[in-house]
Amino acid sequence: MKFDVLEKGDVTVIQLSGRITLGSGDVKLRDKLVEELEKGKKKIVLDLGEVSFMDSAGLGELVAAYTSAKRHGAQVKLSNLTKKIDDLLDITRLSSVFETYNSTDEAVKSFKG
Amino acid sequence: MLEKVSILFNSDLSMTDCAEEFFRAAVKRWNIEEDRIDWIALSLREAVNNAIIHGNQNCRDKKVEVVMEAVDKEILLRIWDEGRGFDIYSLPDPTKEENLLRPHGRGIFLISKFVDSVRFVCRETGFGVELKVELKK
Repeated sequence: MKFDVLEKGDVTVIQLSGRITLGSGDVKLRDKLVEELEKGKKKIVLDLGEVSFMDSAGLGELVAAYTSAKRHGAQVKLSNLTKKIDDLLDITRLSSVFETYNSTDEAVKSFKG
Repeated sequence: MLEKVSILFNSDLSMTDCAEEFFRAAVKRWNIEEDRIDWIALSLREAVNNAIIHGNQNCRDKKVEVVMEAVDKEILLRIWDEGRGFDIYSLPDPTKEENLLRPHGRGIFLISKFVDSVRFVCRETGFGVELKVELKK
């Protein structure tokens, strides 16, 4: 898994790409998110548009991202979900946990109320 | 049609990628849609990870075996470890409200969603998970 970090105003966008699976990407995502939260970032979008494959560990990392953010008084939203990731969130009912947006711009705008 | 191939490896999580590659290479001859292959590969990965982590307790010397067998209109994927298995009925439902924020516990659930049936087999030599995929679907 790779990621790029963009700042859009006060919103941090983490663009993820590749596979998020056990031992390959799951820990990287966790570390990156903790780094951003410790910098005091409160509004975070995970752009999943280029994520090609995700397993239960990857889903677990999204959940951990959500709960870590909450603990820090921050919020994580998801954008650009591929059909497969969208299906995974639906099947596991995690779609009821996350705010998801068709595009990163929409996700960023949603923070502005 | 009867074809059978297998791969045997040590309990090392990096081998999960090899098991997936092995599956993807073998499955080419069986005319399955690409999307479905991804979901079956996901199920296989979950079963292999469970075999390494829970079955063999990450003990590197213990073996995991993946056996793929095509019989008529179905593919059977068997994942064997050297553990004692587990009680599948004791697993919490990860889709229940109280479990949604748990970071773990979705592997078996995902397996059951993406293959046609799952069977758990206990033997003296170890524990096996059998994933059945019907080809004409």
